[in-house]
Amino acid sequence: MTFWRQVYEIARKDLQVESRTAEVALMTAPFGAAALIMIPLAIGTDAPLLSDLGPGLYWIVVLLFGILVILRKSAVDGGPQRDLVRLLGIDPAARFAGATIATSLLVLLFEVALGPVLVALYNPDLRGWPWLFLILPLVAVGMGLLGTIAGGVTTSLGTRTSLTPLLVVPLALPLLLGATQAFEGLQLGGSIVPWLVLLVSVDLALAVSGVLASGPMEEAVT
Amino acid sequence: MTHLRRYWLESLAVVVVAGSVARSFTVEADVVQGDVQRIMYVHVPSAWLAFLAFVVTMIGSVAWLRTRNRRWDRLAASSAEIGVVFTGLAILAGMIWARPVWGQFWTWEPRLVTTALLFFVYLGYLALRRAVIDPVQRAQRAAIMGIVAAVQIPIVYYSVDWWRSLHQASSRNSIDTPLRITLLLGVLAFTFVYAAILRRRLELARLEEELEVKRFEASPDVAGAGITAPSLARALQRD
Amino acid sequence: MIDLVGAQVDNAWWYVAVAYTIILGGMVAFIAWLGLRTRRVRRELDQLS
Repeated sequence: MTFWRQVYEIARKDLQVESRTAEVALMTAPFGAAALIMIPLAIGTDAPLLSDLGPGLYWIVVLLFGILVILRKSAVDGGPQRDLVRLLGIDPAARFAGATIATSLLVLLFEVALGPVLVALYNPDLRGWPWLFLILPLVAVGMGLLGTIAGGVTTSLGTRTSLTPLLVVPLALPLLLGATQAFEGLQLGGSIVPWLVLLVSVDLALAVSGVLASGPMEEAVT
Repeated sequence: MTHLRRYWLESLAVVVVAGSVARSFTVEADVVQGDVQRIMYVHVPSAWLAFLAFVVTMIGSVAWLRTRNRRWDRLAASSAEIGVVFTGLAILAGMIWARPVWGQFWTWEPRLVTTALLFFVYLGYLALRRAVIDPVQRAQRAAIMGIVAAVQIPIVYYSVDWWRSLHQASSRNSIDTPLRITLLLGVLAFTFVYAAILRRRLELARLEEELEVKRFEASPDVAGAGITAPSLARALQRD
Repeated sequence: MIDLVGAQVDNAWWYVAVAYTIILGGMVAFIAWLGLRTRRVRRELDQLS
């Protein structure tokens, strides 16, 4: 099996397992939507204010609640599954890439599912919306990469659900800034290229360190 | 004399810190900020110490992955702990300084935000270490996180820097020579402090590891120990 | 000159004292904590051997 075939199969396996429980679609996404409904009740339901704050709140919900996508059940391989994958001789880098692709797609799904909620509840300024076709995937990939790395080092730990967010959130800051500032740039008509460059460089740096770490990671998780 | 030989690093650190503090209190006050600026003579050095410690953690992490010598893992862990403590202290002192000068404890200034995030990143690193029981797995996972964190930090910094910058620009060129010497003396003093504390912390890490082995040897065999436990013992005794 | 500048911030020395106490005190507390942990581990090691 070629490398890319391995990547494809791993990602397909992860998504297939996910489709059985549909954790992200049926649990995490509604949870995020519920959060977007709750926030205005806490900060005030003033229409211009919400339109202003909406995008920022959306990204906060995506990044903080998106951690539940990282922590989902289907992202966790049991001991026997890990052994099998290892015995099959799957390249650790392919495992990393496959898992990242699956998680990124699910984060993207989460983002897309929350989009209409944001538009309906907050009525944000959507100038330059086609750029979202670039911004949403870039953030999703960043979350997928961070999640796969952090999820990897916390595999099978009792405190995994508390520890993973602590590892992910501080390092996700560039994603948050890139996304929110690009969004704001679109509304103000400014250049958003630096922010896209930032998102791309975060993704690249994480991808490189993730691939390099995939070998040691295989050893760390037995 | 034997005491001096044993504690030379500690003695040196104490002497230099005392000198540095004495100088920070007696050097002329800053023209713009007045006496409050004296806080910088401990704030900047402790931030420096923290960054130094995190760089050493990264070096230890890389070296562990390359050599699998437990010494490097102990170095990474010890240094990270010192770094977290001094990051916290630097932030607190910075806030005390900011209160009179900026009028508030906190501003959304890049270096401040990055340092605060650094605190949480390495708190997570230490939490990860606590969570993993097997020493080899612990070292391995911590090393991965130590490296990924170190790679991300410059990006975090630049992202916040792009986002907003109202901090006083790096003041290296704008301050007078006597003040600069005081600052450098502080940095030197805290570097000695780092070395002295690191030595103690490494000793503690070594003892803790020894204790782990002893505890394992002392524990009675239980069913299944033949399968799971030897990896732990082997790992610790290899060094 | 020091008096003249120091007047800019009220209680400047008070802030300085607090900051130095935090950093130097924190340093000492950390070292003491290390010493305590080391002693505890040493004692347990003695008991086990």
